[in-house]
Amino acid sequence: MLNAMPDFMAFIDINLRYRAINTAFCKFTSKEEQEIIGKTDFNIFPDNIAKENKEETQNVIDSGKPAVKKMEDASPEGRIRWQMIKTPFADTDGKIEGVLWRGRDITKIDELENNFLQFQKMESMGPLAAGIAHELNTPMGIILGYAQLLKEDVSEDGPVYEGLDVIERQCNIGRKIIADLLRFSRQTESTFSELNINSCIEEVLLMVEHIFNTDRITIRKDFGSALPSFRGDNTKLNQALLNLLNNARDAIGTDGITTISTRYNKDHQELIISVKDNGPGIPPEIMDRIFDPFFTTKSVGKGTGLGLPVTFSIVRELEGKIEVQSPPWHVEDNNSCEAKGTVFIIRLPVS
Amino acid sequence: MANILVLDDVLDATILVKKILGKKGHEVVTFTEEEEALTFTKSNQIDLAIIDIKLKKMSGVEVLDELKKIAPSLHVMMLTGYPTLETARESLKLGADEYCVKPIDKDELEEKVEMILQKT
Repeated sequence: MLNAMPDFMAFIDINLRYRAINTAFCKFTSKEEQEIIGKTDFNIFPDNIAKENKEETQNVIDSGKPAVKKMEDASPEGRIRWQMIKTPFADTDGKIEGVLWRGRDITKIDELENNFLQFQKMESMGPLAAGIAHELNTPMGIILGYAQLLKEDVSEDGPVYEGLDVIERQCNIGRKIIADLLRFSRQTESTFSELNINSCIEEVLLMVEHIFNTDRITIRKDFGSALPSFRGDNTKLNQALLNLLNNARDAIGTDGITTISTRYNKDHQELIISVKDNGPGIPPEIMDRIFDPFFTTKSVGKGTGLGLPVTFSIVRELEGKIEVQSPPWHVEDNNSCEAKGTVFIIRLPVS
Repeated sequence: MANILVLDDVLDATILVKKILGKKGHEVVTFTEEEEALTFTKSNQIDLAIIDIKLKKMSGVEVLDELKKIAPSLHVMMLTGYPTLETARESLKLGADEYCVKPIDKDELEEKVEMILQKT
């Protein structure tokens, strides 16, 4: 069974000798089984890799804590990315017997993730570019206006007039650039179609399943049935959902639960979508800033603070509303308040 | 010679319009706070209001609505750096005379103001 696995596995004892391996491990090291069993890293890998490997394994044995890492490797098929994990293996008394080393080929998934991150970046550039363009129009307009005004107060054949002329001309060039930028950002214009919310969520879940599993975050689906369809831009709606899911994952870190639910409220003719996480929640002090562009609590490089603003504008475009509760109020439960966590609730009007 | 009110959250923008239209002989009063502009309109004769859509607390379209309640015959020109079909439709529906996009040319501003005031 282990030999049929695509992931490689090896069991290393406390003397740092390989005791058991699977077929995939042989392939990984380009060695036969008998060349590996009973041997150390130095018999299997080039010296520099062996040294690093040996140290890592020793650390896991000493600390009793698992070690995870990603590594890139060259193979006949091209470059491969591996996600590796070394876990201490203890007997029933808790004494460490060795280390279990497992590796998974994540090349394709990594590629997909990178492509997707890029796509996300591009998608959020649209509103960002539009925002900047609009903001620039204001000072540009004032500069232009004053240049034109001042021209009237000076003689036409003087250097001041000439200078103001240049300012006016350059402002008009600036206006044109801004107009072009706006036209470009509007290419992320919407294409509306009939959407089924549960299908859209499933699409998005397909994209994040892997990473959620890796982080040991359970995804609970609580889908309503016979939900009416609604008109929207599929890509944008998925983007909005993805942003909420990513935030949930960021809030949780590892080992947690995300719950996605969908309902239809007949009385209000509203589709209600909620994304809940059992993370630490949002502190009340920052609650009214979370939808501000560029507001982020993540460290530099980890978040641009555009996820929620983009989600917000997508929901607005669908003429819906988005609200956040932290901690979430469990309406079905006699208004009990869950201990901690956050829930984002989107309401879309559907006639 | 008309009494013109200008409302924009950017002070420099209001003064610019004041200078341009002031040169044409109009009496221009400027505001950056929505409430102050509305209060002024309640007790003063205004012929034309030039309002930015992006303001500090309310949307210019909401201010348009309020102004029309105070002085239904008041002419209004909407000025915006964020033109959208939505705000354009709403503004015209609420009775705005013009919906212009920033940055507005000095000549264009003067012409549009003349056109609107001649309607009276």
